[in-house]
Amino acid sequence: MFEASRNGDSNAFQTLSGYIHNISYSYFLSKHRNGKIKNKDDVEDLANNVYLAFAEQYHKVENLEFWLRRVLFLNFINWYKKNNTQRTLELEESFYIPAKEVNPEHKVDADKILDILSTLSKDKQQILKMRFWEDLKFAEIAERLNKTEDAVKKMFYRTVEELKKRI
Amino acid sequence: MDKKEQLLELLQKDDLTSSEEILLTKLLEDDELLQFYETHNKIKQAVISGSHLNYDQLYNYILLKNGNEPEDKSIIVQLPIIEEHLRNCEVCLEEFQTLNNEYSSIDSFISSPDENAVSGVQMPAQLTQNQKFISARYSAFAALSIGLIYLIMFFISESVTPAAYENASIKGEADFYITRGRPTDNFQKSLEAIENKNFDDAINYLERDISEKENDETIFYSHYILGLIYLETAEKDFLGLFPSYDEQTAANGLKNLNTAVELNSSGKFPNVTYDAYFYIGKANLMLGNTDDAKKYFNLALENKGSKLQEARQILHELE
Repeated sequence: MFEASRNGDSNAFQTLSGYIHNISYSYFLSKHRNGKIKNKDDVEDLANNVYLAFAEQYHKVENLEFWLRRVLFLNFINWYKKNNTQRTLELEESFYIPAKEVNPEHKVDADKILDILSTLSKDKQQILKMRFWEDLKFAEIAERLNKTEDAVKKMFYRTVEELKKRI
Repeated sequence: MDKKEQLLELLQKDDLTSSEEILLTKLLEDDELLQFYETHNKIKQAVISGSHLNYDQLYNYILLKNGNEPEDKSIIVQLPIIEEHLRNCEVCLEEFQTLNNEYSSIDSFISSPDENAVSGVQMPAQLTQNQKFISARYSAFAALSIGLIYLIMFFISESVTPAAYENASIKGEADFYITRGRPTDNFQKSLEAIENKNFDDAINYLERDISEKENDETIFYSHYILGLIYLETAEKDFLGLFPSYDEQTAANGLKNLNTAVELNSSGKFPNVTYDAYFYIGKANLMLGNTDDAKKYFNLALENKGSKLQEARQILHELE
């Protein structure tokens, strides 16, 4: 049926996409019933997202099971991220002091830098994290932040200069 | 291109050619650029050692770890940093475990969709078109009758079961894998036994772990999991209706959870304590101690553990 859908059989596509919707709905409903997804409307929305992703991507999908695992997981994570704002903030915007044993002198430096970093504007923190932690190039950061590469470079340079004075 | 720009260009490269290395050396002869370079490297070290993993990294890392193709292939380059980070950061490790469990549940769901089908949602390949047609009327009638009987029993159950009793249930809710756990054989075997719903064996393994390693710093994990198993098995019901709890088993659960809180005093694993508060609240509900239960749900709420929402909801329903 999957091959037939990919070859343009609209009946096969309809049946298969119906199955995809049912599996997704059933999965998210089980999450609602065990209390992980509180709002039942979210179950329908999430299942629809998977259904729409299938409609958009089915001609490119090579292994349907792998694809479905990935898309269900992606949708769950996106929902989880949106509904766990406190944890999301903790993970994505804050710095933490690592527990690992390090040279005490370096640790003091790192702690001080992290303290100062946490006082910077959100944009500046994001640029530093994208550059150093995610290892993105300036052009990639610019694309993500919807800024020009030149603007990102200038802000990065100014931020390092600012920290140089404060460290 | 001025000198600052040249330096930034060089700093974002992973490998420098010999001519670029010469250029860098030359640029660093300038004091201002040298200071910039040194500060840049200090910040880089601090950010790398002090940043949390974001959800994109966790998503791609979990896909990769489970043999699925990651969407962002650059995750492969980041593997050493991510794994080093997970060894040092409890927050991210817990988040990883939560999401990795979620991936496993998707995996098993997709592997056997028929077994995991939720009632009311028809799964693929259950019936052929002809079979559907022939059996539809009979099954609809049977389902209607069973549904009606169940509905009547449900209303009776609802009317005779106190709210506190309903809220005490942890059936299928307890997350046995949210913690880092212990590497001992007995602990690991207990997790396997729990996975197979073999709770008696799991209890034996954990009790053995506790008696053999009672002075281990992380022994509180064994008490915590043991407490959850007792609460899970304390519940008795009939088809999900008329819930009741075995007093002795619930008391064993409460005792082990209290011990877990008492022994988890290093301050390194606060989330286990916050979750234990929540389950101590549940154990007290099972034993009919509503005031004590409220006290512990409030502790779970105040400390903002992973059970914060559930604690808030139960407190609201107990009011």
